Amino acid sequence: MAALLAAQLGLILAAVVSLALGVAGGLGRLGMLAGPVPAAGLHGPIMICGFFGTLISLERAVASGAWPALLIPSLSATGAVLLIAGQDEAGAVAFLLAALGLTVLTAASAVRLPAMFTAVMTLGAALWAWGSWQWLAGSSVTEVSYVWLGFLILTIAAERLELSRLARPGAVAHAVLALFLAGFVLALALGQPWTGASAMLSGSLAAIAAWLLRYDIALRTIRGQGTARFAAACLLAGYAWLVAAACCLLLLPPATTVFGHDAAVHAIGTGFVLSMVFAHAPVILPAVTGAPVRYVPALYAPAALLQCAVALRLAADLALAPAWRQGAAILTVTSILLYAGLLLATSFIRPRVRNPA
Amino acid sequence: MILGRIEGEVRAALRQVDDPELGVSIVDLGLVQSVAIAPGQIDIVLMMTTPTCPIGRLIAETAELAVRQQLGSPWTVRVAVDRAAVWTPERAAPTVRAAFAPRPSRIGRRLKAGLAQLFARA
Repeated sequence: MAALLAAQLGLILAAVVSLALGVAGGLGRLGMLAGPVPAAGLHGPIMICGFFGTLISLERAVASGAWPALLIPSLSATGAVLLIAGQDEAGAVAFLLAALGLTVLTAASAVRLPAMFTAVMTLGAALWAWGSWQWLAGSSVTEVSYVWLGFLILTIAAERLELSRLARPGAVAHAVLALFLAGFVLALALGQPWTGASAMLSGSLAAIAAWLLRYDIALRTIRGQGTARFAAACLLAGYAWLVAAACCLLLLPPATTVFGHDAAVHAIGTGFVLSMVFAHAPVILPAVTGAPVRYVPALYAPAALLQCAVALRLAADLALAPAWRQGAAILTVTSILLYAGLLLATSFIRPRVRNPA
Repeated sequence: MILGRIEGEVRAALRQVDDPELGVSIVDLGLVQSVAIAPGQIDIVLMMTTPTCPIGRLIAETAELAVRQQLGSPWTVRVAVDRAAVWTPERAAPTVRAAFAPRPSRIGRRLKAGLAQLFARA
């Protein structure tokens, strides 16, 4: 048991290293770091596959209760290391194997428990595999970025769907969501937004966000307290960014505008996905690693800072102001460091009764 | 009677343990499958809202701590999670189901009223 927890903690640390190097790559691309930054051109794969992919795979592996499933996040963590070491092709292979492993793992869950949320989770993992295969086959990071982001969006959507069962959306509501998801995947298959058209991708993304917002329990738990309220606040902000990303895709088509792609991917990656990580880390980290961290109200500060960072990034892209993008990057890094520091501090200050809420 | 009092204390302790995502106690969510009391030992079996829940162990540990703190020594407390159990919203308390029930949207209500007027008989 202790060895397992240690392995899981090791994988979290590997994900954190991917985050650090991915962020460094991003800062390097903005010209904010002196000297060459390892794998600066691979900021996208390191962040999506190395960091988020490892976190999601680890959570799923722990949930499965089968220790061999830890091979999946080990593969994605290895992929990030290989990219940093300049072994791009080997890294891409590792990511593809991790994605295929996650697809099999989530499909097995869907067979054990046939439900909308297990199906969506499997579809999300399959998008990771699809994007990784395309990248290995020669597509550029830019070309596969929305497929990879689709993996993150659908994974989060599946988790929210699972929790929304208390709200009991009916069969018609589920059918409507299935239609939106089909539209999203079809848009990706048609090559949007890089074909020049982005309306289907934008529309389906906005529709998915609206559906999730309608049925998400966050609209109830925002009136609660503690961890549940904090998570709800981050989630609702994240949904707003998902809608903003959909607007960017429509009004600033990445294929034809200068900063449209930057706005959309950061609204999704930083605004939506990273907000979700902030929301769940105080619960998932102790569950997966045994780390004695917990929610404290001070976490609202870095969460709010993150929202400001995303707002500034989008404003910079709309205004074509590179200096603002650098400011947004500084705010993003500051929010991540502040969040991590506060979480770490909670491990030294223990309450009398340990309660996840 | 004594067993009933002890079980009451156990459930009172478990009522302090919330599902961190929902902010609702595991008792009100219907996650407490069984409480068995033997001399000096309490065995609790929980279920999770989904067999693929990654925080089952965390909730079990928190529940164990809460019951130990409530009862004190010399009780041995063991909490297990039944991964094969299938949870449904009907297991939750009526007040919880009512709190999370979908509320009809104003836009939906207005659309329905508008359509009803359009197709109303003269």
